[in-house]
Amino acid sequence: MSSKTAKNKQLTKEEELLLQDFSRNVSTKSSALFYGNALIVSAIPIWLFWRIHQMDLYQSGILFAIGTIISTYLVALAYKNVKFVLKHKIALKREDAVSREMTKKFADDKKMTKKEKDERILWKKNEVADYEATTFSIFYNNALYLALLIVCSFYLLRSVGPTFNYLASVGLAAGLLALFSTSTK
Amino acid sequence: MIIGFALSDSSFISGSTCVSPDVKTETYTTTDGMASMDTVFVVEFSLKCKQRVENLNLYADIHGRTVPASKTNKADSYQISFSEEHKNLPSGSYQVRLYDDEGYSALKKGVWKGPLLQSEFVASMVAILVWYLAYTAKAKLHTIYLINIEWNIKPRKYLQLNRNGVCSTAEQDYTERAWKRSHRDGYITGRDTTVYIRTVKP
Repeated sequence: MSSKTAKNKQLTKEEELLLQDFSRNVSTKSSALFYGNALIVSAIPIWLFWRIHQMDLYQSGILFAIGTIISTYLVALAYKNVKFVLKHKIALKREDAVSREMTKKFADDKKMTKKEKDERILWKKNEVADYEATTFSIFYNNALYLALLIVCSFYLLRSVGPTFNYLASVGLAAGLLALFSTSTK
Repeated sequence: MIIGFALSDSSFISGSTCVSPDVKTETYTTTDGMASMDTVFVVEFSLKCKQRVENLNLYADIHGRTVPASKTNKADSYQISFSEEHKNLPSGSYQVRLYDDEGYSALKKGVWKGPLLQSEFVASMVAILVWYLAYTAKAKLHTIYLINIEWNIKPRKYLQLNRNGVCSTAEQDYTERAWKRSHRDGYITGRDTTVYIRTVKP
């Protein structure tokens, strides 16, 4: 049994590809997308506190900058975590459809070996799942972040001053978002 | 021009409430539209209450506008004046409603209750609704099966993978690969082992 396990440790190319695909690492492109989106959504509270809560844009500039940076980091973290969890699930959901489509596409290609076809399918599946998980993660986290922010700033922290309200509601919304994203459900 | 009167039916609580009012009026209105700029109402009225009331604040509602009634130098006598452009006040009969403090505040409340829904409430509801839709969409992806992998070697081992297909035991390598190959019931044969996969709904 133990020798078997040792042998099994030598992964085939296909398996290596699989493991790599399902790792927590995100590509640079994906990372840029996450941070860009996180920055935009983290900057939205500035408008809310400037126009609705009547805070001065210039006077509170440093506060806004700090809040936005912290929030960007936490929101991007949440994007990554949620994407990782979703990717597996989406890959499973789309597996059959992707294989069917790819098999149909390669049906005429006699030269291609079975292994190559499988690899192509795997690669395509990964690509589809990655894209879908990335976009869904952004959507889901944005929706949750804004809902948390609005509820915090208008209801939970209704009675406190706008400066503390900004810091607390942005911190609370981004912090809770990051916390929820660590759930594997 | 006829001016009708109606005193608001206010409750008998404060001292400045007039019980069973008796109103006598004298009115003046503009009669010649050519010679004057605006149409003017002047209504002078005396108010007698059942009890003696002093310093009663009265308001009049004429043609959708409220104006305060000013006290004249005669006792229990008040005056209301009101002017508008001719075209806005065509000849006819106008009703003047008089309100005391209580009636007036009730009138104001009746006219403007504030927005039916607070804008922050609407914003919150919309945000929560969008999140709820996102959440249900996310929950729909949860049809992943937990997988029990049964080894046909002694002793039998049952490995349960978590939702991400990760198993933290020594057989992790094998189970992970088995999970990734097949997500249905069945088996995977290795060189000397067969891994049975039994899917269990979470």
